[in-house]
Amino acid sequence: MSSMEARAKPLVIPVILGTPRQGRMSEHAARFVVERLAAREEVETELVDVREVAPPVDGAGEDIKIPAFSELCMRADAFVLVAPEYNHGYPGLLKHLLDTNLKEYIHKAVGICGVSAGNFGGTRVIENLLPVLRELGLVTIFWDVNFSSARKLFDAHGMILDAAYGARFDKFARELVWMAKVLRYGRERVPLEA
Amino acid sequence: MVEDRGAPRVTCPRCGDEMNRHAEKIDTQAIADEGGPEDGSGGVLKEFHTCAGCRFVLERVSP
Repeated sequence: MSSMEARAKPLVIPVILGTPRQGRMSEHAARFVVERLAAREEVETELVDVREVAPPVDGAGEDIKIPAFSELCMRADAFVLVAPEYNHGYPGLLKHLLDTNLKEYIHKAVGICGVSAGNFGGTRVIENLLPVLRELGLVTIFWDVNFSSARKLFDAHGMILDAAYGARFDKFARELVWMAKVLRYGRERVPLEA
Repeated sequence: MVEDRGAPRVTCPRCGDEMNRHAEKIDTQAIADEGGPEDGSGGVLKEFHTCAGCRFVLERVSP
């Protein structure tokens, strides 16, 4: 994508912070992700915090669509999920929020950043999310980012202490951007054959 | 804008551009809600169209 094209039609890639819990380390990870993505010329990004979106819990599925979130998903070319691992699974509110849309996700790219207090960096939450994302019509990339030992990974101001994460994230972002471009081309120009 | 010249194009209800049909899915929830034709697999066949002009995504029962 040329710089002129990038400005005219940026890739819209929201970052979804998937937990509303107090004291969440995932917020630091999500802010790091937003900062790295925003530095890319071709990307337009923003943080979507499940705590602020606060999907209603007295409805079901697409019946509880949140107009602003659905509109953002429709404009999006790809998504990054920042998900902590709770008892080997994903936060219920993240799943609930994702379930509010379907057509808005179809044939769009998604990458997952796992966060955990232990050494595995949310590998199990990532594995558990994959079948959910496929059923939503999203296309997963095969780079992940694993934020391990999260309580020691960020300083008191939420800044990441391990500089290696910058290069790791950039590899993830590079594939996500590639996939987002390819899928946008396909959604807009390649018809499903009869 | 789109590569294929075969099937007739759906017009975007937002901006009037041609849309591209790029996905289909069986919707198992749709029978009661929309009364669409059952396709024999327990649901209704939906199709999805994307507008390159304004990014709108249209979902409809496959005719």
